[in-house]
Amino acid sequence: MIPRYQRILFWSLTGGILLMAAFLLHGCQQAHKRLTALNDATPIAAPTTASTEDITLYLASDADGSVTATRSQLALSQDPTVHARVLLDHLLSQYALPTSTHPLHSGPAVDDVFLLSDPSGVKGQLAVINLRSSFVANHPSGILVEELTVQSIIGTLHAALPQIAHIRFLVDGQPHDTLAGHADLQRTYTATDTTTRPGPPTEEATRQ
Amino acid sequence: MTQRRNPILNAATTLTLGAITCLSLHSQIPPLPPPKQPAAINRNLILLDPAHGGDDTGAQLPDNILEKNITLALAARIKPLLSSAGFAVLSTRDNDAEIATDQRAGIANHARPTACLVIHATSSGTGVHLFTSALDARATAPRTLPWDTAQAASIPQSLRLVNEFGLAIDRAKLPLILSRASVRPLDNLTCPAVAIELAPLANDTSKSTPVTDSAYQQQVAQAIVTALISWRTHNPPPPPPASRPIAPPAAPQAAPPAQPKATPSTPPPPPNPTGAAK
Repeated sequence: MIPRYQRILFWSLTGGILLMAAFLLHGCQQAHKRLTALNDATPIAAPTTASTEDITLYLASDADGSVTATRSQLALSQDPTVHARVLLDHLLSQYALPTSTHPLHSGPAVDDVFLLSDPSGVKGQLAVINLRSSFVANHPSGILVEELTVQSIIGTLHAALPQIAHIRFLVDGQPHDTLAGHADLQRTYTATDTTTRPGPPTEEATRQ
Repeated sequence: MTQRRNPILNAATTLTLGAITCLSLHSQIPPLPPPKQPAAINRNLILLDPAHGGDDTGAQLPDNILEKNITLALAARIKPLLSSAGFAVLSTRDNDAEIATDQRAGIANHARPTACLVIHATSSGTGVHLFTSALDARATAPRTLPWDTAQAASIPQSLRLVNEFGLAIDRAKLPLILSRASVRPLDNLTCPAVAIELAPLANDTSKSTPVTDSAYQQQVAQAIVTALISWRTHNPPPPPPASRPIAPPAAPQAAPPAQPKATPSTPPPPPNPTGAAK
């Protein structure tokens, strides 16, 4: 026969254990929600006041090394720097989709885009794209894959803002040697139509 | 009077004798050599640049394989094949040393090889990726080459060279992408230069052939050597420099043409074993 005070003590302890377990479970759920909110990698929302407009994205494909222009629609700000940043974030978020032909990690990629009058005196603006170090750190490494990313950015920016003549890259506000070990980020790129479709080698080209 | 004229006569005699001596010596001095020409391109020298090395590991490939090791392994496969084809091979690194890209370009530009091959590897894409510099071609080589765009004067040759590589890899039935890229030290090289990037080989079956596969590497190495043999065949040595104008006018054509310094020391090209070149 168990004494009454021991039964009361047992049930009290059992109740306490259950309460503590429920409290811990609740705490874990709250912490998980907080961390998930911090890791939200969706691109920034388009300005609600901006109207949707046609844009041209220069999308890359690792399979054949091509860059092709694709029409799309996106709500964009009229401010050129915000316009460029949102456009590039949208472009690079396309590469995080499961169907992407040029797969890149998801997450914010472009910190800022600065548009400057070209110091070299050449007609047109100089665009300085400040990439996030997290984007650079997670970018796949290789000449083709890095070059395609750079060409995709250049082509898209050139199509949206034709006043841009040259493009330079920074990473977290600092000059950076390469994108992920290969593509040169120290040079100034000319903003042009970067549509590319590599052709096969020919016998004639060898004898030119 | 005589005492006053003597020093003047002495001075005049000394000056006259000095002038006669100078004139006689001047006739014996050989004429100044013409301005030094840049060193000739060594037709049988190939530069291999296995990219990365040391702390610069390059890409992280699947199964914790490092790109720097793959590039070195591929260079090690190419080297004996080139040697057996009669080429001299210069490599920027033969071990796990970290060499700056500028230093690699310096080695290549100093040696003046007939072709420079920068070797890379990746896990993205499929097959063999070939690149030439994305710089705009310059019609004529300026007297001074800017370091950052040194390759611009060699773009036409580089495009022909990459086409040779493309044909050889195509004949080896390997997937191929020909493109252009801004990669160091490609832009800093003065020789015809190509960057080759080895990617996994996609098969019809589910599993692709990795870049570590020795048979795949050997196939690519063989195609590269075939292309370089064809390149040598399609690129005869430049015409010898014209006879100097000081040659005797009686037989200006009789003198044998001067040979480039590097050519006599190198063996003659062997017959083409592949039959790829004419």
